[in-house]
Amino acid sequence: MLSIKDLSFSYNEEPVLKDVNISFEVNHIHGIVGLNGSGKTTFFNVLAGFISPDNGTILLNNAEVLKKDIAYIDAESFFYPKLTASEFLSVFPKTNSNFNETELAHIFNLPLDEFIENYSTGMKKKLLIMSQLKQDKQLFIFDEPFNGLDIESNKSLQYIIELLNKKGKTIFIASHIIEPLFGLCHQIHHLKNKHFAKSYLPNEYELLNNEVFGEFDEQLKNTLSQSL
Amino acid sequence: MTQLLKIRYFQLKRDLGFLFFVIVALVSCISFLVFNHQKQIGLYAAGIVVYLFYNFHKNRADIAFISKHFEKAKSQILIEYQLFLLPISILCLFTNYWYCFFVLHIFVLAIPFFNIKSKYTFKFSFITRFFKDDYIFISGVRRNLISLIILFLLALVLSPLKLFPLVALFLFNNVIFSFYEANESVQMLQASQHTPKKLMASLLNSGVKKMVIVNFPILLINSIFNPDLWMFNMYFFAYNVLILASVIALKYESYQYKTSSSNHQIKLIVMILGLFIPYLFPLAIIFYVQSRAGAIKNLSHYLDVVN
Repeated sequence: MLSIKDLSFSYNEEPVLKDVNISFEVNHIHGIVGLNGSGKTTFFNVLAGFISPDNGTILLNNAEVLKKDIAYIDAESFFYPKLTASEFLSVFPKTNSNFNETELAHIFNLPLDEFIENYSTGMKKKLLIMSQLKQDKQLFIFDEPFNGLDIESNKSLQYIIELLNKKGKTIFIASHIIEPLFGLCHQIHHLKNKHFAKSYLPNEYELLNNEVFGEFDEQLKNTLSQSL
Repeated sequence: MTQLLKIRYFQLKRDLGFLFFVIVALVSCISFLVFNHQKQIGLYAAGIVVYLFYNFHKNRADIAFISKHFEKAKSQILIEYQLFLLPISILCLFTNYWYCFFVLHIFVLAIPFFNIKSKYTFKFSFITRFFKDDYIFISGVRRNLISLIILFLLALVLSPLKLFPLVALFLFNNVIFSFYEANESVQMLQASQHTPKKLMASLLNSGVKKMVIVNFPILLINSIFNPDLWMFNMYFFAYNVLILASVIALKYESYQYKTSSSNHQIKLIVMILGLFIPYLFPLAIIFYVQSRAGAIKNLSHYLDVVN
């Protein structure tokens, strides 16, 4: 169990997360949804340890989470432009013995001898995902993984996430594109008003759609009809 | 038209405050002393200054942003460089090298228009074999291979002479220091599986080894031909190691996982000045010690503190 107790984080004295109390099943796929600015990325940054919370604890099976056990796949990463993809991958230790660089590069359609400066945003994202799959991590955090990926890569990534989960990994995904989450996640958690307002099981996903996005849709329609 | 200057004003106010005026005064004094030097080193000093401005321009990461979002971007950059050049150039008007004032301003004026970009990028796979997983050096050497070769050959050819090889070597080392300006992604940082202290030590160790390989033969030849300079050559090497250590420390002190370039130019300029003015040496040491402590603290957000 990944237990989060009394977690709070403020940025410039403005609370972003407040009194977050939640437990996540390990070996499950967890979706995190919420509108822009709801604190999804901040939550992930705290979870990954990049920023220290003002209060609260995060414990994985009653122990502190080690950074080396976390794979963080964020929306944008810096790449040295004058490295080839293969040189980039060589930096990461191969602790996942099943990892086959050539096969995966073929599936993702990545030319490994090419300089990264010639890669598109989607290709860079796939390369970053490969670098994390090369290592045997316990916790995978995907921040907006489906953005910028073509349909084939999107499907491949969904299979990869399922496969990782079958191997016992715990996975967190935040995504604006909510449809893939319905097919993947064991639970989806709604981040609202600086804490997790509610968690939904697969049979409640329709309810989630109505509750989270229905309210937003109505507000948006009203605002737009008055503004345009 | 003044957006860039406003940004610089806020940066200087935040990073240096009153110290800025002290540094400007110091720079002007040093500049006067250098241009007024009996051994006629004014032209070489002007060359170094132009090179440093060029190097800064070539490696700055905000050019695309400025060009896209600022009106009359090139003019703003021109004004910025001319203003920052003034503390160095103004007092040389009162020396024998008064004409260097115009030389400096004209050459620095040309820098934003001087944009050589090779159409072809060569992989030079021997670089990968030589540096193994050292991505900072693989990427840096590939970007600056021509400059590095020219500067090294220049230093080697001039190595029996006084002063000149050290200028070339200093510029060579300066290119190496620029490798550390980019922030790697947090994933690459974590790939080392080091603790913050170990990472700092390993980066310094690796950088020093490379500096020894390049600097030592030249300094040795120079000391053989100029035995009176061996002490200064030792100081030169030790100070360059100190700058390297500080560059690494400064980078990780301000490292943020979503910021691609580190912002430590001003402190670095003070450090580099210490090479020419021994009085600044203690300040350089203080900067290093401070930055190293800050770097270890900051890295603990990204790396496990215990293995």
